[in-house]
Amino acid sequence: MTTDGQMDRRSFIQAAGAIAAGGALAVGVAAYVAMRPGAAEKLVAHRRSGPLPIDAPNSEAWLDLDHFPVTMLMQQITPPHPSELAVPELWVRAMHNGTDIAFHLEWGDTVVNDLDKMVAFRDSVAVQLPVAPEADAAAPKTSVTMGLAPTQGAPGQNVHILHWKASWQYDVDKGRRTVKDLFPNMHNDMTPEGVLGEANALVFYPGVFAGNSMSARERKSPIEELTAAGFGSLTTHEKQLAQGRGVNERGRWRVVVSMPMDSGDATKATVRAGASTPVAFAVWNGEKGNRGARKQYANWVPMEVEA
Amino acid sequence: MAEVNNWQLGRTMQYPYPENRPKRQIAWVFDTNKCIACQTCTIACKSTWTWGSGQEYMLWNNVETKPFGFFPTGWDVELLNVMGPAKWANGKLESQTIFEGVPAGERVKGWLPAEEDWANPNIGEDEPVGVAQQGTYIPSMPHNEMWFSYLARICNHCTYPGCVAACPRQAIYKRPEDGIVLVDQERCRGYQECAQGCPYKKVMFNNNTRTSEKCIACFPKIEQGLQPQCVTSCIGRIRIAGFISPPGEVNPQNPIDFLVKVRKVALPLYPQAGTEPNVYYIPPMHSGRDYLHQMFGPGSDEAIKTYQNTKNDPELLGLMMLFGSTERIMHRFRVEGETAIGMDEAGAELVRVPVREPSWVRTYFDEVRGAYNHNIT
Repeated sequence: MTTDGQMDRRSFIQAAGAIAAGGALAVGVAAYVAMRPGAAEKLVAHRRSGPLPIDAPNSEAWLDLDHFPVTMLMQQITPPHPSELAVPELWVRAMHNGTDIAFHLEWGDTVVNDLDKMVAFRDSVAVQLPVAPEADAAAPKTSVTMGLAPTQGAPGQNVHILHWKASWQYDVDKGRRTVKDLFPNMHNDMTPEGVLGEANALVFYPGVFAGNSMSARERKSPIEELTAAGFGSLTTHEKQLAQGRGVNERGRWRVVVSMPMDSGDATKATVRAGASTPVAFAVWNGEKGNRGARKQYANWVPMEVEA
Repeated sequence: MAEVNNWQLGRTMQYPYPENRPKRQIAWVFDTNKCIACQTCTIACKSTWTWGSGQEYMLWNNVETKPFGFFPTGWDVELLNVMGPAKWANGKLESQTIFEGVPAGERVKGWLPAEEDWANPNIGEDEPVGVAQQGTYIPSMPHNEMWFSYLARICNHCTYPGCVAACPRQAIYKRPEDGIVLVDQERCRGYQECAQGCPYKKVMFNNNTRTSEKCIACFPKIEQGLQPQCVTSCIGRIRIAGFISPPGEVNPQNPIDFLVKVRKVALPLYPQAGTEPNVYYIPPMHSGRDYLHQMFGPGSDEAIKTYQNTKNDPELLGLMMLFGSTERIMHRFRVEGETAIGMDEAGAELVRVPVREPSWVRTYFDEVRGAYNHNIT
């Protein structure tokens, strides 16, 4: 820009280039979103034969399905609350093969947060199923909650949660980050393992020593299975069977989470073909400081499981 | 919210959980006037507990220069920003604690330090308030012209911890047997709500294990009747750790009670936060008084007056001499003439020290050797 406000040749070319690039990006994103089928009116877990595409969130097998749009709400039932509605809508698709059920979860997020680090929080998403919907069905029903508490389960109403974490996905894909990866200039001239050996040094890594899932050094799945019976009661399940994968491309997360429909475990949810089951969702946007109760959640929605 | 009694505020206050005091409460007294910021305590703690990867920036114990030193940077300035200035009237807090007037959607009034706030542990070291002019000298004590002081800090193992209030899943607990506040390493999910809620910023996220950690008061030592590492390593003998009696009870033979409740020479740090911290400080007598009022509450003038009269107070002087004289926790003490005696829980003697150290002043010129003495005391 020249001092008299007129555009010089260089500025004009730069501005034109920026507009063209921005326009192309907008068209690209629009095409990316629009090339898929429309919105479904109800959530259906479609029956498929053979293995489910649990490692391929971008596969046609998923994207050819209509998505079920779930309106997300700011979690404001219990403090702390998120400061804003960071994820207004979650697109859900589901399929099963009689043995396993998988959910495809998609939402807009232009900043990838896949770190677990001081003052940094990860993107993540969760699917919640009731452990004993028959027992819960006896509870007084309301049109919204279907008799189920919106409080991440409740005493006597245990829920089974599949929690995908972007940081765990990074662990699985690229290996667990070390402090040196997080802070390249951090210096540590003497470590417990260097002096005591790995086994004896473990006590100096309390989370690892205590068996906390957050601290696990080997990560096989980006998804954690948990149980809960109300806010604040979330507990890692002893048996971890959930599988899946998440990718972020062009400002959208696509995450697949799957689990056995019947694990034979009374403390986990069982999904039966030909039946209907309630399912609930939560999404966290790490960039906005989301973690724990600072999240977007959706109340229970019915899901038809094709026979 | 429950209505709980906070004796340091002279009133009841709101807290998320009902009052549930431990069977006994570990407490410390730090004499800021004797601290030289040598950081021996810092290193003793660091080399004992936080030398693992992921804990690089953690200093469960740190010593900072006041008013321009802080770790993390600006923690106390932020605290005062969040709460506003404390207002006291006749020993009663009139302003709100971090648990009162909390914004909607939050559990406590807090803030989360930025990553870079943890990058300068010794920022502001030895920086004084004021500027020395040509000819500046210290005409009298106390003075408000130029000053700085050292503040040694650990977790306060508060009676009403901000971290406990902030954790949405009760993964932090206060031990009933001694009041030590600990993060449950099985339940912590690394939300860092505790780091946000602690007014003293003494809960820290481990970048390796992805859970939060904090000072554990060297509980394996306390369980054996020993004082924590930061206390026993202090070369200036500025610290003592023991058990404080509950509010309304005073045992004048108990060293902590004597300092906090009888002589009232040791005061809590930023009591207006409302956590009822259990580290008590003898205020730095040469620091600005307005600053001290904000930092230690309305009792700071009287505490300094009492401290400056120590030489005429045999009991207080004797107890001051017992600081740092034994590794064991001293439950009782007494002064007999020129001797101060510390005792364990059963009343058995742990240590005895002279109330006044013998001293000898040499002549400036040594006539026997025909030489001048450089050090005559």
